[in-house]
Amino acid sequence: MARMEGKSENDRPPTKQRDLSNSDARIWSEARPWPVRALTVLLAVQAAAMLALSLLRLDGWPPALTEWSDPDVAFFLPLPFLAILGVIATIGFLWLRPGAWVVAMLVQCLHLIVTLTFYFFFEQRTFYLFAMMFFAVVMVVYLNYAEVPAVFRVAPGQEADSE
Amino acid sequence: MSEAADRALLRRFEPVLRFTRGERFFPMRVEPYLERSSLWCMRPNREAELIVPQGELTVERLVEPRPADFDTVHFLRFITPLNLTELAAYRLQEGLRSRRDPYHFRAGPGRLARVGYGSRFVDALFQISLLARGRVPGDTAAAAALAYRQIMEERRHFAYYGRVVRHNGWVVLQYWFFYAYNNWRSGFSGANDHEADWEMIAVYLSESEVDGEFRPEWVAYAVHDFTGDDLRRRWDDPEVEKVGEHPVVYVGAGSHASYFQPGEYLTELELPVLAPLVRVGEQLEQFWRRLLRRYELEDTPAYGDGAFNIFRVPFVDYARGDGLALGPGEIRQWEEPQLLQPVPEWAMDYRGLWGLYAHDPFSAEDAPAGPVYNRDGTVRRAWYDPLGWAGLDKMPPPDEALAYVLAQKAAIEARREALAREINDMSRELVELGVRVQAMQNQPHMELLYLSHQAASELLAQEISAKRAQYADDASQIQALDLHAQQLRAGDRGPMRAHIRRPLRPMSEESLRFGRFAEIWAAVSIGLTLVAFVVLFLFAPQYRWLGLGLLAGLFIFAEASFRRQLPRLISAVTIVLAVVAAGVLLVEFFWSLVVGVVLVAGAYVMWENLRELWS
Repeated sequence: MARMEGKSENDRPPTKQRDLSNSDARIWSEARPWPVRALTVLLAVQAAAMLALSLLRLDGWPPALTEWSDPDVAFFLPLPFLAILGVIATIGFLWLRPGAWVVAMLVQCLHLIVTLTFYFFFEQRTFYLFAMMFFAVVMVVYLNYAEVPAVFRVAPGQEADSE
Repeated sequence: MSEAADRALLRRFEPVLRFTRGERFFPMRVEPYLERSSLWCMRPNREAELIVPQGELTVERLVEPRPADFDTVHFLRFITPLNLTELAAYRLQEGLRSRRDPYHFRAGPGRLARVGYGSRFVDALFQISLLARGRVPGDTAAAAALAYRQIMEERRHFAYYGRVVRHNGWVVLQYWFFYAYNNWRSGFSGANDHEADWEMIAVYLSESEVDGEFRPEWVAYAVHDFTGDDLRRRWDDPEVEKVGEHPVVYVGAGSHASYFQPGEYLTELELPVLAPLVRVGEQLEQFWRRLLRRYELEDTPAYGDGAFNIFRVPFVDYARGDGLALGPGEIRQWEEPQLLQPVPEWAMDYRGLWGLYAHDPFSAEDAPAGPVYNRDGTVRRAWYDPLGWAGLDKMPPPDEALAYVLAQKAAIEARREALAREINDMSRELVELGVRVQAMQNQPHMELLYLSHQAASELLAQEISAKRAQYADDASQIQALDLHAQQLRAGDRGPMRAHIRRPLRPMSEESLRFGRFAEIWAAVSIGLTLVAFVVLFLFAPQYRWLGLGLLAGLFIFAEASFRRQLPRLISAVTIVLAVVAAGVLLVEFFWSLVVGVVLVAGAYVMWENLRELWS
């Protein structure tokens, strides 16, 4: 209800609200704690950063097959996909979709797999690798903070509504 | 009370036992079992020695005093194993019978499909360990079934042994059931097989002071490794099913453990070797929950099969109650109860095992001792302390509860009055001491006296403080007792399940919904893992680490998909990766991190102080 504060019943936003199904109405009406808002922004920033990084570091997409074995190129190959998943997670967070939390965790999981693989097996020690690693660690801790998963947990019997 | 009154009481509350289809052994009297048994003695580092051969064993011969060295084990052997022809004939006969019989046991989703990959791996180790551990030979169950069938053909009977004990105002009715054999492992893929099985349930009655009427208050069923409070339920608990005044017991197939509700129970056996790993895992999980305040995880059903339960071996105890039912209101009836008071000689004077001694270091395959004794010959707690066994020793019968509360309150009030007087006297003394100390403060020649007075004054102040704390605690206790007395007067006995720390619930319908593929996967996954590892090491050793990682990932993914646990897997893997990444960052940027933390802390302190200054 936080987003409705200070508004009368008639001031409620958009006409879209009226078009929503029952389950969507439930989701909109639920409290959205500020860690969830912060995480929505952070997920968007992360997705944008991945996209920007891959665009800036790669000369054209997709790079030539011959370059794929070069760790400096290979590192950036999965980033656009991570960015897409990040966008999906961000949208899920905006709409408080029940599966959004798992998608957000999956995004962090993939980030960590990529960074740790390149750290341990290809001995990459670049700034952006550590920055990505640090960001993902912070996100994992934050995503597991009690209030956040609670928002996305589906109460028993509501599974059918929520999907 | 007379024997007849005890017998009547036992009959009034005797239980109804509901078995699972496929159960072959039912509660019986011990005499026909003894008639078919031989008595043996195993001395340390010696072969087992026959003392009384089969056919000659009587109760008199069983209880003859037999002095022996420490660690000597006396045991019975109910049956002689079948020879190959007899065994083949029995198997054929049983196979044909089960095909014709629509009511024979069907396991449903296998136990392995109900637990995780880790548990199945530990289970494989457990099965292999049976080859090295002592165990009951495979054909013993068949021979025991034949022998039991023969006993029933001679004289069909269903019997229990009853005992009425009076302790602390309670009247305890113990119902002991003797089974010729426990075929949980061989018949129902359970943990163990052993000759002879003693099980027990107890009904706890209170006796009204007004009319002397007995009222059932609690009931406790013995089940596997559960102890104390977890064993008992209040009589009015909906979990306790009843037929009139007879509690219903759902008996585990083969294991004969007693359950309140019908269903399939996942029982986990913890291997002592792996216990430290379980403890470490639980601590780590707890730390993670507390750190992020995710207390709700403790209430989720998934908590029971948390990641670190993989170190326990899973077994399913089928207590479906869809087989034979025994007791009041059912087709099969109990015969007259056999009383355990006065304690019969076979129960009191024979401390040995009631079946084969298999030398199993975990004791799971060794037969139990009688109703009075443990396997090591010491007296069972259920026998000498029937109240404490079910955690009821700290509770008075409901009729006496109010009197106990009021007596406690009176005692505390009396103590409080005495305390008040003491505090008063001591306070006056402290003030006097204080005055003297003050008077001596600026007198250099009185330094020693001053110091001793000051020390005495401090000591006295401490004592007074402790007494005042006690006085305040007593007031809280009186308040609590008053509240409790009010509840008791209103007939409110409080929440009926507050005492249960480890609830025993059958597996839910949802958790039993497994696909055919999930079951096949559960059955083959461990074997497949071993084969894949061997193939990898033989044919592609250069890729062994990569291959191992891929294999592990593939197996874990398949496992999680089949068990509908993908979200949980993603969460767990991500957390582990985050911990590794945090370690990497710590190693790479240790000093930078230290400097950063110090700078942030400094800035924060400065900000706080400046805010205070400006506010």
